[in-house]
This record gives sequence, structure tokens and C-alpha cells, in this order.
Amino acid sequence: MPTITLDKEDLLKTIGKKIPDEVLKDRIPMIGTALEHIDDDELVVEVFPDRPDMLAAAGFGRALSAFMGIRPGLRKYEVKKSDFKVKVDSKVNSVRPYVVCAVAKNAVFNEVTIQYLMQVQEKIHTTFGRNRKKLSIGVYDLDKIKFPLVYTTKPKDFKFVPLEFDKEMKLSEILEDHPKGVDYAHLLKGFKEYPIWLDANNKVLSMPPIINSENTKVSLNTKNLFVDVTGLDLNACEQALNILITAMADRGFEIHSVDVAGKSYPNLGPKKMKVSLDYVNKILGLKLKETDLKPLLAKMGHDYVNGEVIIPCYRADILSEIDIVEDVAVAYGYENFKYEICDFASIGKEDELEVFKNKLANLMVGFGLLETNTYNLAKRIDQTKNMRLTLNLVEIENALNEEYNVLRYWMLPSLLDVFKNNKHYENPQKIFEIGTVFNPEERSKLGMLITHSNVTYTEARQVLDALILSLGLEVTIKSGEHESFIPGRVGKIIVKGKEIGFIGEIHPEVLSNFELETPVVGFELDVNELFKLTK
Amino acid sequence: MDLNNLAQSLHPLERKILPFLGKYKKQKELEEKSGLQEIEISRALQWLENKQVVKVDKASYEIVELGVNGKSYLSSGLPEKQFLKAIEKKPLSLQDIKSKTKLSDQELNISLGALKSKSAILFDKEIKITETGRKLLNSVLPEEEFLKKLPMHKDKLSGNDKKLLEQLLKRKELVFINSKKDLTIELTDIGKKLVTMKISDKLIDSVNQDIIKNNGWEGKTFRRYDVEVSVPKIYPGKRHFINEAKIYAKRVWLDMGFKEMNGPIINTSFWNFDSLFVPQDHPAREMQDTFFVKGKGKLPETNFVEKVKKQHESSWKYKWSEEEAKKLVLRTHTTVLSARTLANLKKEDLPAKFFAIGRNYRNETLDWSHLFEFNQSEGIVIDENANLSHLLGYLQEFFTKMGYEKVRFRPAYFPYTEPSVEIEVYLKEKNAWIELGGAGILRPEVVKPLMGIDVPVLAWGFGLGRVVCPYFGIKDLRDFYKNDLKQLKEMKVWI
Repeated sequence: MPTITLDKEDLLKTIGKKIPDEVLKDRIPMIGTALEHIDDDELVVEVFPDRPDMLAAAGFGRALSAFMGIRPGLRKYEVKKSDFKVKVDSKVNSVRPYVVCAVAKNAVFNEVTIQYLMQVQEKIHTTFGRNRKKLSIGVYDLDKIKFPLVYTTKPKDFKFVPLEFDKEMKLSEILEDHPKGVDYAHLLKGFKEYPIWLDANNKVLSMPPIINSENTKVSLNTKNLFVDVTGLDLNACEQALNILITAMADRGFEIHSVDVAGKSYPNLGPKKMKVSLDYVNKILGLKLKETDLKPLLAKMGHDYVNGEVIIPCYRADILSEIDIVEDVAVAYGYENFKYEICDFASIGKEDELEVFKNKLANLMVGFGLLETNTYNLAKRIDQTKNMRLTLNLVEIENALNEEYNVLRYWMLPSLLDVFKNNKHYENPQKIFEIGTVFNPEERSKLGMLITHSNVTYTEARQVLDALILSLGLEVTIKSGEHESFIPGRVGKIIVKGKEIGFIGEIHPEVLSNFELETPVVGFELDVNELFKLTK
Repeated sequence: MDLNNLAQSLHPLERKILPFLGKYKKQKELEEKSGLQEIEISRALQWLENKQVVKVDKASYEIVELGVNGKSYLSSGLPEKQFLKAIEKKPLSLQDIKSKTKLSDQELNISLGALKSKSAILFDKEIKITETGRKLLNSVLPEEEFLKKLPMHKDKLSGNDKKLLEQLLKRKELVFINSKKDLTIELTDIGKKLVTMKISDKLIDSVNQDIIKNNGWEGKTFRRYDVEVSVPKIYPGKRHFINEAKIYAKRVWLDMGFKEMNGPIINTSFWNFDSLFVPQDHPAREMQDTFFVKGKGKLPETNFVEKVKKQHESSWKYKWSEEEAKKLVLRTHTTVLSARTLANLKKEDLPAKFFAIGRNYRNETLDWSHLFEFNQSEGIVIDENANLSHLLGYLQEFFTKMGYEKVRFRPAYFPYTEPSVEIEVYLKEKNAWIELGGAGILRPEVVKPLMGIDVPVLAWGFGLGRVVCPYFGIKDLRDFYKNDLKQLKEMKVWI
């Protein structure tokens, strides 16, 4: 999850009050973020994905200020009507169709706030913007641009000077050679022309979602900003713009409208949603009164009038009434809820197969065996070649750990691997495990292995006989064949005429594959089948 | 210890050796006089020393002894001699010398070096013996003389012999130095008294049928044992400790009236994500977080697929894809069992409580705090009157029973719950609050499509491993799958 780094002095200024570290440590987690680090100069805060508005330092400060009751309530944002115009060429429709814009004037940047501007773009890009796929943000020096602008597309050999470069590059070269181009080229794969922002003098602003141009770069001296958000989801683009612009407005920037193909942006007015006091009380188990709602919702930056919540435009997470209920809970304080349990009776019941598996395991322990716990994810070579077998295994498409890229077909390879890793300990070693195997349907299987220098088939058979006898059943063994076992020393396990597994002495080639030096005997049986047979 | 008790606790071996103590002070003498084996004497002396009957002074000394190769060279001749013998009649290539003498490469190299330094051989196209070489062949080499003298005390070697020893020690198993101990045994004051006592040799050593049936113990004394001594360790068969914890955790949920859920590990994305309102472009559904299984699954043939689709499209405002929902995954959370349970519940089954403890999968690189396969404890409570206080109440109850004295909750975010809760417990050893897992009330957007009604569903799911680490003293989650048999044998059970 994303973390943001905050300058402490700036944060306290944004909150509007000097607050000791101890209080910050206590309060920041209770608003629904996680404080990762705090020292004299800095804080590192983890912001959850539902609150992209808090990725902006000003947004975080605003939320905390309201939550702590310093500046509660709904903030109003003014947008000055201006005649900035943007044309949208229909060519963008098939590539990156949506665009929204705003202008912010009278900016005063310092080292900290210019850093924040980069931080918020980057964090919104990676999370809310789904690595720039869903949306991406551009910020430009307004005074270097001549309106009206056009958002269009250009062919691959179109050229401009990208950010941090001193020479013109073709769009195709940017995707191949510019570091940002390399990172995000996949977003434009398959298109003949790429998105481009041009001003009235045909000067390039940027190539969304890849890179801005060098000549519209924002610096410490920039006074006025033009902001755009392009993407594949209009709603998300608008929310990202609102998050950015309200954070700027909170820092004292003057916000001006932009006409985007006939629609005026940004729209910083609040949304409204009906909320029922009964519903709030029902979900939270509280007895709040109508008059309690307004101050509680104010702590979350909302207003409340006559059964309606007035929601600020930067909140991207309010989908339905239940989201308001959570805001009330956060404002009320999770630490203030009582601990109760429901007042209805119900009978506990364990899954029958689980009860049976537990019984089997306890019997195995009674025979002096140790229970192991191995992964269901397995190594292909252990399951097949090392066991002298070829099997159809269930495969994982994308395992990070390439060693474990199949699901196990049977248990004994997992147990042999345990022996391999315990060679340095004394014998005898006796182990078992009841695990899930994938054939490809999921089944529970019991595997058991014993090793020591004098071990024979008899020892495995004694355990099996005693186990089955304890279940009130009889077992017979029918001589059989299995590549993993020594020929003539392996048999099928038959219970009530049904074949449920095999027992025998492991083939020396298998032992050698697992680097083992003493003989191994054991069995594997199908627990689901065995369970049915006890019925 | 009382002197009589001491006398009665003597092992037969101790009793046998006792009369010779005081008179004889060296182990060799004791061996000759008592007729006991060397090992028997060492054991008896060890026990008597523990009982403070004797004081054993151990002076150590070193003996130079013949090694395996040393012994064989004494009869077959040193490699350098064999080397010279091979070329006595005519010069040979090194390869021919090797096959003729059957010397190892190492032996050949050493011989070559030694003979060259003594000018016993000449390199031409082949290797030739010199006059000096012939003389050497017929004389006794100083090395041979040295080997014949062994074994010898190391500190009695002459200066020349010491130099020879140094060279020979570098060669493979020619000679070795054996550290020995020379024991001088003195009686202590207790010991002096003990030897003057009349010690009965009629002590009963072990109980047998005769002693039991015929009261053969009457009027006799049992040899006293040192019951305080350590004995060789044995270990029982044992459940794996994660299962010890699992069984206990299950018991806690069962005691609170929860029914167990069970279900498959391989699921369609529909069950794992879509049914839980996780949008199809959510980062969790990307390749790096989730294990995708080759092939496609089937969507359930009921109308809630359509309802889930509509819910996604109206809330998240995107085009829901059936193909995306058919992708197979290893379940990333046991919450998929809750979703399946909710989909099958009928109105008359309510209110109800369910739990599951099962394995889940995340496509992570293994490290001390991340596993790609881990156990999760899952629970849901479906009740018209359930609320946030109840959620916190069940969780507090569970964690208290798992041994945590202090539990607290803070706001969190999960796509399928609202309000959402992060569970934290206080760890005394670390003097810190640690995050243990997530919980919340399922969103109406999850519940309505699955159940057809909107009813509060309290839900939680947290990694069981993390919860039980402090109890077992485990600091690395990988230990749960390490299967170190020593650790498994010695691990305490869940009490």
C-alpha cells in the first residue's frame, strides 16, 4: 500500500495547530491510515486505497484537522469563471478518450510543496490511476502555454523535447529510449498514433500518459499552473482532478475553470446522499440522535442537513449509504465501541471430514510418528521425475518462486523431501501428514514414511494394519506395481473391496534422487475414500 | 550423602574396583589387578568421581601413531621407493609410473617432489633414475626408520625426528597424533572412609519374578540409584505445532456456536474476487499478487452471476467481463468460503455463524514475514441484529482465548467490508501493538447479490500463523513449513 512522506512543520501548519507527537501517534491510526514513522522533521504515513484524497499532503492535513475537531465541516471551493478553452480531437477516442482540466493561479511554491506536487502525482498514478492505465496527470507552467489547446494524437515520427532531455525525440524513440517511455510503453501498444497535447502555437505540452515536454516544466518560480487528467474512466479522471485541485485550493491557489469541449471543469461542488439515522444505529449498534450526526459527520469533512449528507467533491470512496455509516463510526471513534456478542444461540458443528482427519492424525501420533506440515505447492521434479513417474500436474501460470510452480499430485514426495532436509538428525525417523492433493480434483491423502538402516516393509504394514483396525475395518494388501517402489515390495491397499492407496518400500533410485542413504518404507491412502468406507 | 546410602548406591562395577583404590593409582594398574575392561574402569571412575569418592587427576600426553597408509607403506615400501623401483630398469613416463605403481596422484606428486629434491631422478622425455637414486633405493630411508619406531611419545622425539614428523603429518594418513590422558586416581576423605567399610555384595540390583513372588526382597537392601542424574532423551509422536494451534482455535469457534465451512482451494476469480465486490481492475487481481492456475473455470449456473455483474457495473462503472471472472486462482483468502456459504444460505437458516481455518495463497517471495501458502482463520455471523459492537466482541473474545490480554481495533480498508476493522494485539515481549488481521461488516453490495436480501454479515479473516507465533516463540513464519524434526520433537504443545 502507498505511503507518503510529510514535512512535520508543513503538516502542523495545514492542520492549524501545534500538536505533540504523542497525540499524532494516537490519532493518525484512528482516522484509517497507518503511521509508519515519525521524527522531529518528518512523518511517513500509509494511506489506504479508499482515500486517494489523503495522498495529497494538504488533503491529509485537511482530514486530520477536521477529525481532531480543529477545522471540522465541509469546505467550500470556489472556481472562477475563465475563458481557457480546450479542444478534444475525436482521434483520441480509440486511444485515451477522457480528459478533464483546470487552472490554478497565484501559486507560491517552496522546496516542500513542489516536492509534494510530484509525490501526489506519483502516488495517484500508481494506486488510483492503476499505474497510469486508468488515468494520468499532467501539470504545466501556464505562462508558457498559449490557449486554446488541443488534445489530439500524432504519428510515431512526430517529434518534441521530452522532460529531462535536451534534444527532440520521435514519439517512437521516446517509447524505446526515454526511461518513462520504457516503463509505460505497454499502455500505448498496438496504437498507430499516440496522444499529444498541443497549444495554439503547436507547442507540445505532453504525451499522455508517458511524459511532459521540457519547455512547459514547472519550477520553484512557476506562478500559474495548468492541470490535466487523461484516462480511460471519466469518473476516476474527475475525482483525481478534484483531489489535486482541492489540495491546491487549500494551499491558497486561485482555481479557474477550463472549457473542455463545451464542458466546464473542475466541478468542486459537493454531492448529496440520503442517510437514515436508523440504519446508522442498526449497523453500529449505537443510539445516536439526529443532532449527533452533524458534528460526527463534520469530523469527516461532511455536512449534514435534513437527512442528507453533503459530501465534499474530493471523496472518491463514497459509493453508498454504508460508506457514510463507516465515516460516522470513524468519527465516533473505534476505541469507543462496546464489545458485545449477538444474543442468538446456535450450535457449533465441526466438518465431519475434518473430525475424521483429526482422529487419523491422533492415531498416527499414537504409533510414535511425527506430523509434518508441507506446502501444497510443489516442485515438478520431486512429484514426477525424482519418483520415476510422469504425471499430469496442475500448473501455476505465474509463480514468483519458480521452484514451486505446480500443485502436488501426491504426498510421499513432500515427505521424502522432509527426510532429505533432516539427514543430519538421528534415525529412526517416522513421519506422516494428511494433506490436500490435486488429481486434479482436490482430495485429502494420508502419507506415512519410516526410515532407518534396518527398516522393512513389515514396519509400514504394522502401522497400516493397526490404523485400519482402529477404524473398525479390515485391510488386505494385493501385490501390485508402482514405479516409485521396489518391484515385488509394493502392494495396493484394499478396504471393503475398494482400492484406496498403496504401500511398500521406496525404490533405491528414488532414494538416491532425494539424496537419502537409508531404506524408506511407507504408504499413501485416500482419506476421502476411507472416510466413506467407515460409514 | 550419608556414607551408608552411598555404599548402597554403588554399581557392581564400582564395588568391584573399590578394594583396589588407594593401593593402585594408575588406570593401567587397576586394569591388571581388578581384571576389569578399560571402558568398565573409566565408567566406574566417572561415577565414583561424581559421588566424590575419588579425585581423578588427568595429565594429558600425545602419542605419535602409524596411520592407515603408514602401516601399508611399512610392508609395501614408501611411495618414493615404489617410484624408484618402477624406473630402476628403464626410464618411464609419469603415466606409465602411475599405472605400474598404482599410486594415487597425491602420492605421485609427493614422491616426485621428494625425489627431485634429493636429486634421485632426472627429467628427460621420461623420468630417469640417477646414481643417487639407485643408492637410495637400496638404503633405508630416514622416513622408514621413523615409521618403524612408532608408536612414540611426541615429547620424546629427537630434533631430526620432529622435522620428519612435520613433513609426514602433511601426507595423507601416514601418521597421526593421538591425545591420551594419564589418570592418577586418589581417594578423597569420603573415599578413604568408604574403603574401610564392609560393603555388602548382597544388594538387590533388579527386581525379578522370584523376588516378587517369594518376597525375596525381605531383609535385603536394594541398590540405591542416583535418581537425580540426567538420562538419554526420548520423544513422543506428535502433532505438528501449527495443527495444535489450529485444533485449539477451532475449539474456540465451536464453543461459541460456529459451524465449520470447507471448500476447494482452486476457485474461479468469480468466487475469489467478483462475488466479494473486488473490481476486475483491482491491483490484487494482477499477476504479481495472485497465483493463477492454467485453464478456465465455470461460473455457477444461477442468477447471482448476473446480479454480481450488475452490482459491479453500477457501483464501479466499468464493463464487467465474464472471461476475467472465469480465470482460475488459488484462493487468496478463506473469505471465498464465506461467499459460497452465503450464496447457499436460505432465509430460514438465519441467524447463523460459520468459521473456517484453511490454507490460502499469495504470490509472494518467501521471507521471514511472508509465505506463499498460509493458514487463515475466517468467520461470519449473519444476523438481522448484528452490529459493529458484536463484531468487535467476537474478535475480542477469540483473541483473549488465544492468549492476548489486550486487543484494540482501528479503521481499515477492504473492498468487501464497510465499516472495516484492523485488529491489533499488544505484545508484552515487544512492548508494541502488532497488526493481526482484518475484519468488517460485509458491504450490502456483496450481501445483496449473494443472498437476495440485505442483512448485516460480520466477517473476519486473519493469518493464524502470526497469531500463534508468540506462543511457540517463532520469529520466522517459514518455520511452520520447515519440518525440522528436532524442532517438531521438542516443540511444546498448545496448552
